[in-house]
Amino acid sequence: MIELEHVVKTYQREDGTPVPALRDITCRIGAGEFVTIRGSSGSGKSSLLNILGCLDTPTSGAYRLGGEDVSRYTDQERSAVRARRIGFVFQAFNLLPRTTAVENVEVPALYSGGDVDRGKALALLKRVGLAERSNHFVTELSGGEQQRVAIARALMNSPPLLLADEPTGNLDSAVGDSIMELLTDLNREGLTIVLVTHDERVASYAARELLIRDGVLASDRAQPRRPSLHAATEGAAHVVG
Amino acid sequence: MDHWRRLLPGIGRQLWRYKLRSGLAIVCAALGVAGATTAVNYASGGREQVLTQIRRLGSNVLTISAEQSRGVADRARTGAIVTTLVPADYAAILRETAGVVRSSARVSGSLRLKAGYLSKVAPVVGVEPAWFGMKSWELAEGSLYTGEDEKRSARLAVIGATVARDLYGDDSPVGERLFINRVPFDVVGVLRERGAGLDGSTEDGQVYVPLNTAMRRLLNVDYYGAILLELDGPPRMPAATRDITALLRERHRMTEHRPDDFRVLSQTDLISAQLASADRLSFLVRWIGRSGLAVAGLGILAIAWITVRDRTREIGTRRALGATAPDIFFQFAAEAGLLAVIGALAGLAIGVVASRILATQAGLPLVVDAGNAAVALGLAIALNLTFASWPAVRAARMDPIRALRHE
Repeated sequence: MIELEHVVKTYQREDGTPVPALRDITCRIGAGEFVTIRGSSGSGKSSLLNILGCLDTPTSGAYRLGGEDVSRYTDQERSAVRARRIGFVFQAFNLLPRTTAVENVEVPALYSGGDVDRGKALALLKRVGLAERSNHFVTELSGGEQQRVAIARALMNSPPLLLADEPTGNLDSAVGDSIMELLTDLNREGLTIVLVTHDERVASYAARELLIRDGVLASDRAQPRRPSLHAATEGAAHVVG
Repeated sequence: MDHWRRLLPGIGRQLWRYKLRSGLAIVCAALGVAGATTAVNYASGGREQVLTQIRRLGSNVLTISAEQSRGVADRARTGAIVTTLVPADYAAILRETAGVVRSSARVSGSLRLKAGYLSKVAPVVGVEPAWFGMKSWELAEGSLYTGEDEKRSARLAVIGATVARDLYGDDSPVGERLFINRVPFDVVGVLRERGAGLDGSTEDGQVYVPLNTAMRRLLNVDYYGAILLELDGPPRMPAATRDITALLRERHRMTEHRPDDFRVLSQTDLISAQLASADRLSFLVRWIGRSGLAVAGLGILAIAWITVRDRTREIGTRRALGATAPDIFFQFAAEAGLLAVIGALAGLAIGVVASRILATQAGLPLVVDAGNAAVALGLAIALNLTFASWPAVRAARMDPIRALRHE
C-alpha cells in the first residue's frame, strides 16, 4: 500500500538556512494494516503525515502509494489522489460550519468526479451510529459525534487508506476510546489506517507502531493489540453496512 | 469545468446560511448600480426637459420683435410701443430671406374675456395658423383655425388649457361662445397644457385668434409685435440675422448712428447654452455614478477578503478532501459573483423606482436611460467579479497545510 524510500524533507527558514524535518525514512505499510506513528512535538511526524497524505512532496526520496510513485506529482494530480484514495480525519474535526452532518459527509464526492450520492452519505452516517443526526447542523453535535461525522466523510469516496491526525486529541478519554473502537472496526473490515499521535494509550490500539524521533525512524515494532472493548460497544457502534 | 456544476447547490446553501454577509454584499452591489442609474436618469431627465422646451420655443426659429433696444445716452426707451414693424416689412423679409420654411406674424394685447357669467382679463394673441406648428404645440381637443379663416378675419379662438379651466370648468369649450372685448368668438380648439417655459412664462393662460382678426377687430393696429421665421436649418441662421437686420434698417431709413428699432433673436443661442450646461451636468453625474460603482466594488472586495480569511480552515479542509486550487477559486469567485449579479439586478430595480420618485418630486420627465443602465449593470458585474476574484485567487493559492492548521 505505502512504500517510502529514503524520504527526506527539508524546509527553508526565511533567512535561507535549511531545517531538516525528515532525514531518511524508509518503510512499508501493507494493505489492511493499522499503524500508528508516534513521536513528540517537533519530531517530524506531522511532516511525514503531510507527505503520506499527498499534501506535501518530499525533498528527495520516493513515495509509492499503491505501487504508483506520487512523490513528483503536481498539485492538481495530488488533489485527485487525495480525493479518490485517501480519507482524512483531523484533530479539530474540520467540519464545515453552518452545514448539516450529511452535507459534510458529501463534500469529498464533490471533488471525486462522480455524482453526489446522498444515499451513500446517509448509509455512512448510519455506519458511524449517527443515522438520527444526519440533518443536524454540526454545531448541534457533541465533539465525539462531530468526529464520527468526520470519519464518515473520510469514507465517502471509499478510499483504501485513512489518515488520522490525533483524532482523539480534542476528546475526553471515554469518547476517544469509542472513536478508536470505531477505527479498529473499520480496520477489521479491511481499511488501511495510519494514525499519528503523541499519546501512547491511543497508539496501543494499533498492531504496529512507528516511533519517530528527530526526523528518523527510531523504532518499528509490532505490538499486541489493546484488549478490545468491542464486545461492550458493539451494539452502539457496529452496524453491518 | 463540468464538475463545478456540482458545487453550485453548496454555494447557494453557503450564501443562504451566511445571510448577514450575503445581505451586505448584495446591498453594496445594489447601491452602486442604483446610484449610478438613478443619477444618470435624473440628469437625462433634465436634458430631456431642456430639449422639450427647445422644441416648444421652436427649433431654427428667428424672432424679429419690434422693440427699441436702447435709447440715446440719457433716454432709456426700452418697452416703448414701436409701430414700425409693418406688413410691408414682413412681405419684404419673406421675399428676401432664403430658406424660410414657414412663418407667422404676431400681435397681442391684454383684453377682457367673458363666457357665460365668468369673466377675466388675459393676453389675447393674434397669430397665423403656422405659428402652432412652429411651436410644436398640439391641440387637446377641437381644431385650429385655417388659412381661409385667417383671410376672412373669422372670429374663431383657440384657447389655452388654463383659460379653458377658468371659464368653462370641466365642460368642453369647443363650440362655445367666448366674448373678447364684447366681440363674440367661437371656440374651435383647446391647446394641450404645457406648463412654464424656459423663461418662466406660461402660455396656457392665453387666447389665440387669427392674426387679421386680432389686428382689425380687437386691437385696431396695422403693425406687428413680432415676426417669427422658421428656417430650414441652423446654418442659415447667422446670415439670415445679418440680412434681415440690414434690410429692416434700410426700410426703416435708419441713419448710421441710430439704434435698431427691432431685435432679431435666434433661439439657438439660448438653447445651446442651456443644452451645454445640461450636458456638463450629465457628464459629471455619469462619473459620480461610476465612482459609486467603484466604491461598491471595493465593498464587495472587502467582504470577499474577510470571507476568505475567516474560512481559511475550510479552504484547507476542502483541499485535503480533494479540491484542486481551481475548485477553490471557483467556489469563492462563484459565491461573490452570484451576490454581485443578484445585487446588480436588485440595484437596477431600485434605480428605476428611485428615478420615478425623483422625477415626480423634481417635476422632471421620467427618462429611463436603458443604454446607460446596461452599461452600469455590465460595469458593476465586471468590476465586482474582478474585485472578488482577487480574494478567490488568494484562497486558491493558499498552502493547504497551513490553512488546515489555521486557528
